[in-house]
Amino acid sequence: MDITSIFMNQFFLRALAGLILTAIASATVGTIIVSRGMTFLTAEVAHAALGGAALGVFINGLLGLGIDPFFTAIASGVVFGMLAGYGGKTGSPEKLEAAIGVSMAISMSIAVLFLGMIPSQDIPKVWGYLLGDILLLTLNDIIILSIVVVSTVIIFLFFQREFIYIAMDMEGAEALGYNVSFYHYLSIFISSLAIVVATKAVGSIMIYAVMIIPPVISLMLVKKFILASITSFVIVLVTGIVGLLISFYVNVAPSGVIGILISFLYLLLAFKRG
Amino acid sequence: MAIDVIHIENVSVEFNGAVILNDISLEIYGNEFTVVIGPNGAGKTTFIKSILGLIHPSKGEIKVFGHNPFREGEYIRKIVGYVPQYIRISDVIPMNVLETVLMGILVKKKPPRIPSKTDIQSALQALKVVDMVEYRERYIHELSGGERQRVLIARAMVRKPKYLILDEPFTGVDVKSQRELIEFLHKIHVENKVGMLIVVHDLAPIIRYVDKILLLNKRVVAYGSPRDVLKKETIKEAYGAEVEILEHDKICYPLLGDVHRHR
Ligand SMILES: Nc1ncnc2c1ncn2[C@@H]1O[C@H](COP(=O)(O)OP(=O)(O)OP(=O)(O)O)[C@@H](O)[C@H]1O
Ligand SMILES: [Mg+2]
Repeated sequence: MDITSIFMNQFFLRALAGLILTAIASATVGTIIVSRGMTFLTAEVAHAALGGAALGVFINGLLGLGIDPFFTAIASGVVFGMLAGYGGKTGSPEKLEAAIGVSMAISMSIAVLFLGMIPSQDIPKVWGYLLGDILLLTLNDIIILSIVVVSTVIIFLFFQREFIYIAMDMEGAEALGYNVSFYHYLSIFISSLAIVVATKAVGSIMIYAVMIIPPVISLMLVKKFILASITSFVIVLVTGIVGLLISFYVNVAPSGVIGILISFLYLLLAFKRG
Repeated sequence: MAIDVIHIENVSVEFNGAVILNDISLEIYGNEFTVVIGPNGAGKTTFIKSILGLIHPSKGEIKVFGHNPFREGEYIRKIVGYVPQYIRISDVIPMNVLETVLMGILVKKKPPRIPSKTDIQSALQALKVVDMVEYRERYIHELSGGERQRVLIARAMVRKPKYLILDEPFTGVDVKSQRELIEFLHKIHVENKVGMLIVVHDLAPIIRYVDKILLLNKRVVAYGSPRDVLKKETIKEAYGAEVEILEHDKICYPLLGDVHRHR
């Protein structure tokens, strides 16, 4: 397949759109999550999304409805994200971590439970949340992804200072009179939303590589929050396009290739720095 | 009730049924340099947070310069600057000194809180007070303990409060920087006419600037001038009979080892 026909390929174009949106999610909420030290939130919310999707399919089968499982995935991701956020509202990283762990256990159990209850021919509808189906994104998916990502970016830009403040010094911010619990929940809310939509694109197994490692690499390279954000965007986009192209030539899953590329980049940098 | 006092009347604080502060009554004068001492867990931080309206006493009344710390929290935070005890400044987020001080003034703006020229001027002015203007571009997590405290004092001072509360500001600060910090605080007290309430563990370096000492251990053990408070009996009462006491110039100091825990 020559390169121009790949770029004209509609699967590729939709995957590219999904990739750009994922890159934006990584650049915005990924940077917040890393700076708050709550990286496991990504895994937690992603698995909650998986469970939510399974629940959606289950309900559809039970009641004969046609709800898009994407919506139940989003709802479940946000609910479990906020649940973890509630446990960690004091800003203590240890408590947050414990709360995320507990919510993760619950959401994983729900995922396993409902995956076992839906008919086997429906399993592939949920599978995407585990492995990612960036090449199978529908126009509808892209629209939902765009709406979520654009709202996330607006909130991120508008409240960027507050997010940085609570990440840097939550107690100090509270003492100064900032409404820290509001900003805490808001940041968890937009993070959860963005994680779910990114999960739809790359899958819950790869979500960590795409949402967390790029901001970690960026914060190693540049010192300004907003520059770190832009760097993350570039990392996801470039490795993403390379990964997609490779997956078109060699028959491998694009999200796997992307994950390996990003991890490799991190190891290279960590190694260089000693 | 004078308008220039922090008026505390029969205040008790409980956490999960445990009494942390028991029936505290006193008046702290807004123009004075007051120091709070007491053993670990005496409730010093709790006391300060109650004044700031960050903790709700289970009983009693607090009026800060005539205002209720809960109903008028926003006003209190404007006129009372505060440097908390445990500041867990994350080193993941790169934030420079100027931004950190701006945090103190941007709180009165609405998001996205873009700093104006005047805001930046005020921040630089506050940094000047603690002699940190040249550090404005430096990253906060790269500073020494003493330099960081100076920045946090500047952040508490940026809205020009009339009163400043500091909770163990010398933790993790070497002796020389501690002396510098004390000089800055004294200067702020005298030149900017800012009242001070400072929790310390080691009294000796600061004693010559102190107007009043509050010796706290769940209740008010003693409150008054250093000479009145720093007596053998009162210190033993607060710290226990085993505490070593150093007597110098008719003033007794409790000799405490490294009592600072880190969270
Ligand atoms: N949020 C809370 N919930 C429950 N107990 C608390 C809380 N905050 C403080 N305490 C308890 O209240 C007591 C007094 O705590 P406080 O922090 O006020 O003491 P302190 O005098 O400041 O001690 P230190 O010298 O160690 O700073 C301690 O026993 C502490 O465990
Ligand atoms: Mg304390």
